[in-house]
Amino acid sequence: MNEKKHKVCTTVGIIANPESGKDIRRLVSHASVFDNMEKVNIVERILTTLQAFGIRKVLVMPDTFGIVLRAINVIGKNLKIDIDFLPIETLGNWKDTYEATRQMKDKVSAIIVIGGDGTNRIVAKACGDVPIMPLSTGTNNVFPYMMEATIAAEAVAAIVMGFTSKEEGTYKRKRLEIFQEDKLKDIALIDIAVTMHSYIGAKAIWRSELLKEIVVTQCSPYNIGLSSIAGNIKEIRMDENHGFYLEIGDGEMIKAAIAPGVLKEISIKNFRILNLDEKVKLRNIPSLLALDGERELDINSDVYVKITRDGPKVINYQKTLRIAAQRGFFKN
Amino acid sequence: MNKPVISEEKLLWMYETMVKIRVHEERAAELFAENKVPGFVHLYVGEEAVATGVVANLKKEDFISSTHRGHGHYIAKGGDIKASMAELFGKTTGCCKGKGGSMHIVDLSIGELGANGIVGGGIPHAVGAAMGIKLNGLDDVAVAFFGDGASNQQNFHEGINLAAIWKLPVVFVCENNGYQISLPYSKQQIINSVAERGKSYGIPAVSVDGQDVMAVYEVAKEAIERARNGEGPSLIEAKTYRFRGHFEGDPAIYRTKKELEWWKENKDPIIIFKKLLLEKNILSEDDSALIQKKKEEEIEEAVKFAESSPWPKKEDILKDVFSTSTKGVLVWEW
Ligand SMILES: Cc1ncc(C[n+]2csc(CCOP(=O)(O)OP(=O)(O)O)c2C)c(N)n1
Ligand SMILES: [Mg+2]
Repeated sequence: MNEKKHKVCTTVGIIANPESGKDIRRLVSHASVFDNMEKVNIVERILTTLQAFGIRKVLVMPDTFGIVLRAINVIGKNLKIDIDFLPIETLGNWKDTYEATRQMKDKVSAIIVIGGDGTNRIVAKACGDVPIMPLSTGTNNVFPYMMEATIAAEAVAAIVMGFTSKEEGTYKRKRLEIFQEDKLKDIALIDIAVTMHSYIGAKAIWRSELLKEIVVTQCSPYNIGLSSIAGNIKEIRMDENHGFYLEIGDGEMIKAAIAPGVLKEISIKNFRILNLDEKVKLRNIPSLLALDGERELDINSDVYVKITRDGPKVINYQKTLRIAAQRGFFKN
Repeated sequence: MNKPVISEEKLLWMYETMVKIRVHEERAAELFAENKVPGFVHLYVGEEAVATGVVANLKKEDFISSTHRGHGHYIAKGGDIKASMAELFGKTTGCCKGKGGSMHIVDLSIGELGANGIVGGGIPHAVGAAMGIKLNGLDDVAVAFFGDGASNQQNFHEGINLAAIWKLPVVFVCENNGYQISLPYSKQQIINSVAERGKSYGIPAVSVDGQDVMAVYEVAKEAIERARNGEGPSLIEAKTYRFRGHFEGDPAIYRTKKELEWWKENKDPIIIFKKLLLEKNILSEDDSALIQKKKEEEIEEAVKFAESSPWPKKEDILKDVFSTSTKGVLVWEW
């Protein structure tokens, strides 16, 4: 395919987080370690697949472990893709992901994100309208797909090579926006939990006793994590234009898997649907906010939360590949 | 209102312990430079949150085994700094009567099984202690501290394997400070976290920010409770950094000034923890200054004690050195 002639950008971005999959959940729940060599394998599969479908350029976030670099070394001279690393000094924390997304978003047609809910939350802060393909590295995520990387890369290639248009193959996700004194303070993709933990510590939440309020963009009885508390009362699909708010306190008991293999009985005081753009004031302050399952923000003054449709544009891989197949994507 | 599981008293103990370790180590560096401390010293500056966050979950009867970089573990476990300082000086009042030095500070009465000049040497000690605990039906726990370099040693692999098979109450705490002397971690292991090794021994493993004492505390609490409840061993990798050379006198040409400065500026465990305590109104600037002063005085007292203590006598040179009694003849004949 001649890039110049078509004047379309067929560059794919890759962000692979070396830090995901090793936190305290390995100890307090039954989650397993997601090792980095497995992430290298995933990237190998992605690169060989992208190459097979004619992608010739990939832009990569450098990382402290060298996930993509190692994959390149394994594939060796069979690799025909041009791979550029962004000029970022890696720090080994979330700033790498944020900076890489920011620098890459105008230079690529899609970004493959390898990480968990937390990694995607950072990508979502900077990716604008570039479609993303989120691949899960662990069992306790809601936002990214748990799927085979080869198929994910096929879907990305189908979008980037124009077999399926972005309009057809992607959809906007919802997000949660947190406001303090009318300023956007942070975002979450799936859930915000108000907890009475007094410090951030090891970040994850595996005890339900300290939880007070939960706001979710989507929830279902077949997902795991804090949003499942809401999901076991009512399902909210990602295409529905509302979310859910609930308060924990004296009331009906609900059982929920707040982490892999960790089932808790939680008493629900009240709950309600939260419409898009409707602001809700959090009731328990001072407290800590857990964003997508991780303690992040210490709050001491009034905080409002609202759900918007300004989340990242995510590739619907099933729809994308179904359409692409009809248009000859898999034919030679 | 439900309040979390940690008291203000404990938080302040943690802060004081970290400051005490820091002051101790900085003073030890000066004393070494003044030629007052014979032998090698490996200092724990920058890594204070690891020993502190872990030991905050232990009781006196619990055991720890330590490393060549062991002052922090000893202080956190409640070791008497007069005895350790005198040991550093080689004086008879030291915990090994002056015959061990920095790499042999020890106090069995508080469950400190000892610093260790052999890299990874403390791991089997903790596993052995845990075996004793289990055979005696006690609910104590043993913690093995060791470095990233040590996690390449046979002792690590054998120790962790036996502990897993026998389901012993031991917690393996790897202080991954990014270097084994001058060799960066990326050149020692193809994985990026020692925690990845837990899986192959069938035990849970987790990686934690070793500069955040609250994160270390929480992770260690879960691992130690697991061990105490008879659920077996776990492995914690605490990612940390040493602010000084590998040993005192190391020019540290294998790492950049910029890297060191970045860690000092952004990841000093005491600064990070102090900020949290100030924000939570658990500590004031005045309290903090007072703690600093108090610790400096304590350390100074220990230095005075060490300086004024007697040297071992020539005729006692072989006393307390061998487990079986010997007149020393055999040794000389070697
Ligand atoms: C069995 C053994 N081999 C080699 C040495 C020499 N040595 C002393 S410290 C050290 C590096 C240890 O590195 P690490 O375990 O990462 O601990 P750190 O010094 O970084 O705290 C080595 C190799 C030794 N003391 N013992
Ligand atoms: Mg080391």
